[in-house]
Amino acid sequence: MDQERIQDNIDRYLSGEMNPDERREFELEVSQTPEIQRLLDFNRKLYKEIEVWGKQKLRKRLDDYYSAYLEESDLDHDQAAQTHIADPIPAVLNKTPRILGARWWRMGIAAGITGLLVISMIFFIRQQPKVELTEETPAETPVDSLEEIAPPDSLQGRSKSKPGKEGEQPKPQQSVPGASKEKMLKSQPAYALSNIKRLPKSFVRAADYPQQLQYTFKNGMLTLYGDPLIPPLRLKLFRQKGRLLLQFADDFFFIDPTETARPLIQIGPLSVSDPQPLDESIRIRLANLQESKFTQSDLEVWTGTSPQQIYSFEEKNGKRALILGGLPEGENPLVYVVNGQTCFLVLGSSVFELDNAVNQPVVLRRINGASSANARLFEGSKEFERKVYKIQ
Amino acid sequence: MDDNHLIEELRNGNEDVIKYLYEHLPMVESWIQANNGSRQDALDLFQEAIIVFYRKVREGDYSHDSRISTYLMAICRFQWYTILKKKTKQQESFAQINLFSGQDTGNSSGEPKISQEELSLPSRESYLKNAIEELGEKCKAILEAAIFLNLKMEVIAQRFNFANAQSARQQKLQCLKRLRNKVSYEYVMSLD
Repeated sequence: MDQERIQDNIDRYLSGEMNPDERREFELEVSQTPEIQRLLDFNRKLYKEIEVWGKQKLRKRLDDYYSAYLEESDLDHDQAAQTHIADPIPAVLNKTPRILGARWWRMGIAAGITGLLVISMIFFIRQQPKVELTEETPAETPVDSLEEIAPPDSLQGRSKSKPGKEGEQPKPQQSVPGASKEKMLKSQPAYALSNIKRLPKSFVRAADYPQQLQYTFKNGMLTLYGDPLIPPLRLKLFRQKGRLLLQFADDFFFIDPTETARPLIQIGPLSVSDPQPLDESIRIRLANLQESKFTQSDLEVWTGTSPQQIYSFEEKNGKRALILGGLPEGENPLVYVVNGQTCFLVLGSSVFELDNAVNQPVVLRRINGASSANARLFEGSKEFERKVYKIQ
Repeated sequence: MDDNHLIEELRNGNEDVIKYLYEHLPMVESWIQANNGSRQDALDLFQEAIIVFYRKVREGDYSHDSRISTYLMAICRFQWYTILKKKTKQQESFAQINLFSGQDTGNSSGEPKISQEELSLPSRESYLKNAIEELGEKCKAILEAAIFLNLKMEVIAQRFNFANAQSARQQKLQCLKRLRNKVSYEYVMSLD
């Protein structure tokens, strides 16, 4: 087969430049030709490494820009400058555990957050056309299950619905076979998982956080889409010549009645002097990410029957896939990939955050707004009331 | 510097304007410090947020009406929550170990645990990185633009003076081939 054509295809595939038809055709070809599969895997690793390398280079330049900023900035930042100078770690000390810890911390953030973000953005998001699916409602998915697991109680409830499993949660890694089996797990899951089915694509969604803020304003209710984590105290409402204005942090936006979501358009800087409370208040609702804009994610998700509720990220047909086991029947699982990085599983009113690094089955752990702010991205919307102030 | 101006400059490849972004750092610092983090945490998060922002802008994929500061802050908030959660998990496991040894964890700073894998990272890391560094300057620049920044081939052709997108791609593929020839397939595939 023509080597150049293969390399070209691999490149266009990994760069996300193929259209869906080409991609399907190429994936079929890959699955039938081990040689191309090998080349694809090889290249994928190299691309990943180039990403990491590029990021580290940028990171170094950022340190320079930071120094430049410190030099240029005025006395206000003197203190910051001192911290900066004190910070760099002498290379000789790098061997001590504490310093290593600090290094790990930096590397961890660097490699962890953006590394994953960057890499998964490339491999999940870039390969897919951006489609808006906001209106879509999930259809029935058959999820087989051997045993009846009661659907987890609501987020506000205590997370003790399955006392039998609680004990196992703190040490999920031990519930799986030893590390020597890792190779085996890659090719064929060693844990009990049967009736494996691919979750329909429409249930796997990619969402950005934060997103461009959008709003609807009807029946006296202002709904903001795009950032469910906005602290309510940062939002203020004003009326100027009868027109409603929203202040978020230092930005001002006009709010006009609208039933369909509209982007918030920023208006120039405004000095709010002498605001007078009006006898009017408006309800504000922060829509969660499920109501906001999302696209279809390229992450493959497979569900299967398992005695426990577990998850794992594994290679499947040369692609990273999420495996979910033991989900309750009758509930449609939704998987969200936020910023191409962090995966969340939403089951009814329960939210689970999935750790990207998990490559062996681990028990699913529920999160809620109290234990993790990220749960609030998906929880029921937050509602509160705000007084309106009159300004000139 | 005005937000739109900054984005415009950055989009055109003038990286120097990044230094102005650090004006938003104090805001992130005070927020992180109010949420159990240090200044160093804040700086790390902030740099990561800049990288996300920078890549979005360079890719031409940045479309936010809110201010850059709001955007950076939101990314930092999101990342910090993710990290806090991981830290909590680690502390839980510390607490468990220390329950038995009868010692107080006393580890409120949440010094992350280092695994064996992380300790042996450098050799694994440096293998591919060295191979990349050994490429010619032009190849490195092309791969950085095409893969790290995900710039379109047309843009790369313009920037590097290629006749068209097709010849830019051919150059990219040449560079990748050189890189492949420098490393061992078996070794690369055995990584991670």
